[in-house]
Amino acid sequence: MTHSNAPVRVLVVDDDAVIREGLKAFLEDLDYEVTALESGEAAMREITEAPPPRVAVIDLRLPGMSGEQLILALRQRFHAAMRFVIFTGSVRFYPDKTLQQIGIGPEEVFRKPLYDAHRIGRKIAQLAQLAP
Amino acid sequence: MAEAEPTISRLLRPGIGRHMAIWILIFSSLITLLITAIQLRMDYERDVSLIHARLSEIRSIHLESILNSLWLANHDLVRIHLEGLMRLPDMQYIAVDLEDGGRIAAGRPSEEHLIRLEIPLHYHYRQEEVPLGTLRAAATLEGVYHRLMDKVSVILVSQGIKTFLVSLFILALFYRLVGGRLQAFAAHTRSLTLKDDPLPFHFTGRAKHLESLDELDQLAAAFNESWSRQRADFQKLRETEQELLHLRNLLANVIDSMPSVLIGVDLEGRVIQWNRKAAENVGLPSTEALGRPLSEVYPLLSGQMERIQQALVKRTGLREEKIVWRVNDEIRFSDVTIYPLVTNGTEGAVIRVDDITERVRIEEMMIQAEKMLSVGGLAAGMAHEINNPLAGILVNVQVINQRLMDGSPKNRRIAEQCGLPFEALSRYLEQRGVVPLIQAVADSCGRAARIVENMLNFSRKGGVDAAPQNLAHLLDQTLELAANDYDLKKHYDFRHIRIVREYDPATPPALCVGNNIQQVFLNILKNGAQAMAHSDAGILDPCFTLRVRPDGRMVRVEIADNGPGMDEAVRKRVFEPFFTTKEVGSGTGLGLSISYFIITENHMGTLEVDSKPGQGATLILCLPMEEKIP
Repeated sequence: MTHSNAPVRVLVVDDDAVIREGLKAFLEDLDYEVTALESGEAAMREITEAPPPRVAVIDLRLPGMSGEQLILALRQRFHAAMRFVIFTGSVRFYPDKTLQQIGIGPEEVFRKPLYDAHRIGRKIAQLAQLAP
Repeated sequence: MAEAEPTISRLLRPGIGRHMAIWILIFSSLITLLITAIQLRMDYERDVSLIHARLSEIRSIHLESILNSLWLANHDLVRIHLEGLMRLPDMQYIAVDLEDGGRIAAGRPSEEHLIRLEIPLHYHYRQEEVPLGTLRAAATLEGVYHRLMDKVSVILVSQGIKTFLVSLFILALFYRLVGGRLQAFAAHTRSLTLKDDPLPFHFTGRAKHLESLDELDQLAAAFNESWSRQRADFQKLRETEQELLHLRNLLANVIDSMPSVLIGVDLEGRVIQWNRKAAENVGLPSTEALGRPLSEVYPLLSGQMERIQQALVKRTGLREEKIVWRVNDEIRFSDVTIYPLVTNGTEGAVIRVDDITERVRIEEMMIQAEKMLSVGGLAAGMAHEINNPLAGILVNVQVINQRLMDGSPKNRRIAEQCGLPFEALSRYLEQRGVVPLIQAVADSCGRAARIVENMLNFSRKGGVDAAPQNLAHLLDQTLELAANDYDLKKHYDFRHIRIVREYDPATPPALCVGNNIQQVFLNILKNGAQAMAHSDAGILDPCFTLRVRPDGRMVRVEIADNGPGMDEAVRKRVFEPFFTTKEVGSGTGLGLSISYFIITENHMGTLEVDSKPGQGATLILCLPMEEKIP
């Protein structure tokens, strides 16, 4: 799954604790090192050092700063070192141009509920290989 | 006219000329007779006075010599004298009766037509009158009569010939001046029709100068004038009639073209007007319906007679809406309006029946759609809230699954540490049927998620996601998806359905939201596949025929199955929400109504179904083409 023995780090930001912890557990079973946070502000506070987690799974509707704002802020901070997956309960969300320019297309958007969580797992694995 | 008729017989034909000739003949003859009689009378009197004059001549001239002869007793001389006198015209008889009883006579005595003369003969001798005898003479009128008779015949014959000739001449003259012209005029008049525009009538060979026109010319001129006036009047009348006819046709046409049933009835409820729609509805042509009682030809309206009377009394229209009728086991709705006819002395009413079944159904569907729309709005608001907990359940169910059944090193290690060999755990879970239970939780979540998703489709979406799509490609993708669809596999195998593709390669892209249209295709294919699989008849060769082609400014997609089809009642309701022919639980009853909603509300397209029992069903979907930006 990874090039080295060191586990791939993944950031999960979701204000819903059940999802957050569930996803964390699921990804940990897949041998990722998961940092799970409840808000954008928390993420901006915690994730400061490079190298950042290779992939971030971001919920869009968050208290405080929105998921999109968080993505753009993290992108500014870490550039291409970080890749993003959107996991949202919003049924009508469609990535706009700005998001598509940084590699977030419809393929990177997963809608809640996800019947097969392995789909998100596979996407993270794919993106982890892209990141430098 | 018989121009070849001989002149005489033409003259003698009954007519004014002949009448005139006869009366002239009679009158002229009477005058002739009268004049002849007067003339005869005068002639007679002149002849008689002539005879008297002659007789008195005897006295004045011959008496002297006879007296002398008698005095001398020369009887022979007297006789000679008498015979001489007999030679006078008209003398019948002359005699001298002597005193001694002797008689000297000449001529024959006769008793008829006589003028008599008696002269006593006295000889004057020495101042003494000596009687010698008596002279008796008689003149006959026979000669007078003969002459008169001759005259009469001459006069009669000549006058007769003259009168006849004059009559004939008058006849000819009349024919020449009046009769012939009148006949020509009659012939002209007879040949006239109001349709043609004839030349004005003139008598032939007549001078055209005004001053030389006679009465007949004036008559002809007056007739021409009057005729042209009448003709103009007739033309006007005819135009009016044409206009009236045109108007009547137009009105009949208008009434017949009405989409409503229009029936006129008189006071007794007998049909006096029956338009085409009425004939169609009842299957009775107007020729058979007219004059018959309304309740007999349109039994559904028999209950309306009372209201017709009511409308007539009140002189206002009465309207009853949404009357429910059961026609051939089908419920139909109609509006019935009754208008009283009170103008122009026509008493009766017009009944208008509008079949509003389709409108009522559409209204019901729109109400349903509105309901669904509010459900959609509610669902959109709720979706995030519901999807989050569902996502929580599902993620955690999968973690549980993974941790219980995945024989990863980590799982094994931790199980061993707990004194429970992983294999033993697996056996336990299997024997207790835990795995399906967990799966059931996941499935239930999945169903809940799909319900929310379905309901979301009832919310209106803007065209933001719409993009040009090749519908043939989209259809093929959907077929692949359908073949792998979990739900579908449960009921039938999609691989056993034959697919016939009839795609027009020239079809331009349609503007739509790909996912939504895919969902519509999937719904339609699912319905069709289920219909073919569950048909009682058992379709041996289930087959979908897919057609994609341009249709005006739309792209037309047809999805035809060869399943059992459906009857009219089902066909009409097939897009109604929660209408389903499947057993309870096998479908949500929303599939096709969502599809209808997506196509008509969100894409400005059309979706219809064409089907008859036993002949499969064809879903026809039209989506607008991508508009080229000029």
